[in-house]
Amino acid sequence: MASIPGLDPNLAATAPAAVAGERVTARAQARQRLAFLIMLFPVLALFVLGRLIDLAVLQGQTAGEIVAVTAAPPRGDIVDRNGIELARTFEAYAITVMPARLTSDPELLAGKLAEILPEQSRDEILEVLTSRQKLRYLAHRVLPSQAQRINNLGDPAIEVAREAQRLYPNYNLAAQMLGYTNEQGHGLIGVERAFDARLADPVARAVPLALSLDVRVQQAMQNELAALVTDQNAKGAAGVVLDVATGEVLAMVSLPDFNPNVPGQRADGTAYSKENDDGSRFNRVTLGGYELGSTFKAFTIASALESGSLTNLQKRYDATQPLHVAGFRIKDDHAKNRWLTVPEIFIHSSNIGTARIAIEMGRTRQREFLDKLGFLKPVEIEVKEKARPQFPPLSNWGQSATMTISYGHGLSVTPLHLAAGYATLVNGGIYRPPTLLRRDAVTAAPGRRVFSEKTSADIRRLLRLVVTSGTGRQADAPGYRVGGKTGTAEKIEHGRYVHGQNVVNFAAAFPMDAPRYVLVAMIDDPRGSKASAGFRTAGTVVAPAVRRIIERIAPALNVVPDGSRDLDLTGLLPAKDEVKE
Amino acid sequence: MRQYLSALAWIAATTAVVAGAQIITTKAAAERRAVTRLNIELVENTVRIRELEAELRTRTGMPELQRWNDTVFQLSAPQGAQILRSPVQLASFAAGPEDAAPADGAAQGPSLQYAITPPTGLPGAAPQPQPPAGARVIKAGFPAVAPSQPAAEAARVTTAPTPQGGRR
Repeated sequence: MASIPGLDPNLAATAPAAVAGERVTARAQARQRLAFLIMLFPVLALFVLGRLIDLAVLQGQTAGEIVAVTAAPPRGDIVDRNGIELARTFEAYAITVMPARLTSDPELLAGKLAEILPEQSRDEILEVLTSRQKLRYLAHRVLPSQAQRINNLGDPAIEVAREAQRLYPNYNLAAQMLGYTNEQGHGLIGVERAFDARLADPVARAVPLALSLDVRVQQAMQNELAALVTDQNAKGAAGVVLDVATGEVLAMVSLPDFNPNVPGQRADGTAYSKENDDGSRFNRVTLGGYELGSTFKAFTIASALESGSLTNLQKRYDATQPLHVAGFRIKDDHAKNRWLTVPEIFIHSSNIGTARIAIEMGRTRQREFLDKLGFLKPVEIEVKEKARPQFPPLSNWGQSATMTISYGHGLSVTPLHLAAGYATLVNGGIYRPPTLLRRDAVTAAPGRRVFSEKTSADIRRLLRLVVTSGTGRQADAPGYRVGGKTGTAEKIEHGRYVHGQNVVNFAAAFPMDAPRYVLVAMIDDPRGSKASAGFRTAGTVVAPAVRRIIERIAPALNVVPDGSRDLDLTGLLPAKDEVKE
Repeated sequence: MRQYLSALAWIAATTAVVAGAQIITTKAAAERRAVTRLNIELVENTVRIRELEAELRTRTGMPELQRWNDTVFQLSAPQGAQILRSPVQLASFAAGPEDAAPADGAAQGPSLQYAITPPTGLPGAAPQPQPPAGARVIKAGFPAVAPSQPAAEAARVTTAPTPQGGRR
């Protein structure tokens, strides 16, 4: 055996001689390890390749997506159902100052700044420049030309910064519904508050939030109601337009209103605070609880028809004299002093007749239907400013409560409750919660059945009858087959009735042969005017405004006027029965 | 010698591969930079477009349009009867009560003439077809002017707000 070079021959001689088989095994093991190592590299390479494909292709973004995300506004836009902007955020110029680092004479600088910013006095600016705070805002939302001139002053302590500003291009339009944001960009009321997370989400904000609102409808209603408030010297107004098939809110008006671009100001330009609250931040449609009077009679009759206590519209009820119950006297404003059929009760707005229908139906079924219509809980809508309906507890819901609630007294709800209820009455009997989001036939809420098709058809005829022959005749927009009901109730303030102050309202639907929209308009404390011949009733104050609103919005909503079509009202009234309010 | 040539070939091949890879990397980096620049440009343009849109939307907002209508245009919503359902309904307005039953008893539709026709008497004006005798003709067009007046002057039409009855 040849000696191994470098190895001690003695040691080699003492080491046990390797068996030939062991060497072969060792070599085979080494080859196997080498082969495994060689195979490991392609596997690793494949793994890296796979991961690269995953990152680049599967999880990758297209150039368009990258642009969309980076170009997304700091807060999502809000648009109406046709894509018209209601709120958007843009980068405005703001002027900041660090008073401790001023290099110019503050008094001299204040004079120069006052020339550029005429909305601020020299003293106000000087107060900011001499402040002990580290950083002060001199002005928000200044014009680019003003920003340039201020920059040219050259003082390093004054900086022109870009900051996100929320812009509401339509000013006061739907102000309470849209709401506004604080300086940190968080929504404080309305849609801005309800969808704050959605509007601030880094991904979702790239796509505008599409509301169900239609600015054309909103503008028409707001304009007409504002004119009516001025004409009647009223305290306020509320209005809502609802799609009966989907529950979408097309317009929501609450007056007085405010400009959400300057939420810190009142309409008269003075600073807004809780102490001098002018009611302009208050959304009467969702937050205002009102006893809505005779418009409730439609629900009583529908509930009686549905529950089976009323089987025939020609059934007669005694309205010859006022009812006396639990110390209350129930009387009719347009007393006929005779027995009345159901259509007569409805078009003459007989409290006595309606109370008798309710008593016949009973408290349990009355309450059950009001519950099904959502009148016993806050209205189902996305905004958080919602009123809780006021109604007597079950223990106190006796015969007198059943009677008074049947004609809209003793239970206060919001105008939006009323609109959703009327949509249920006329759309075939399906209740759908109102929504501020754009829907269609597929995405609309399935709703729940409250009334049968037959009951709904009967109520449609009665509502049309009120407009053709009853107290709502001034709401009859020719060709649009308007139906509706007037309502007048004493106003409640701080839990007490205010004598001499009324809330008048009109709930309408059109076209009544195939209803598409419900419209509720309400005026708070009208004082009478030349246009209403001094009257302050719903039929003389609100009904004409409803007609004008329908004539303005119907063409925009593709409702085709047709004077040759109408509901068949024959048989409802005896011949030549007319009502004069 | 052969070993040296082989090594040289390996070095050359490796250098070529490295150089090629470097060129590709450089080109890819340049493309990436161009894409980034384009993205930034797109974002800037989007922001600028948004600013212009904000101004446009504010100037064409519904309250502004309402103000213009109240003070200048004074247009009011059409009444239901003013909205027609078809061209046939429009054409039916051409027939007055006197045309409802023609003397000869035959059904006779109204004869319409195009609203805008070249005024007769101008050079080059084609002769208009004559309507049947007794037919009622609706005619609207520019007034005939003397040929000496310029054509632009002749075609100028002044519109005025329609007086409104009742409140809007």
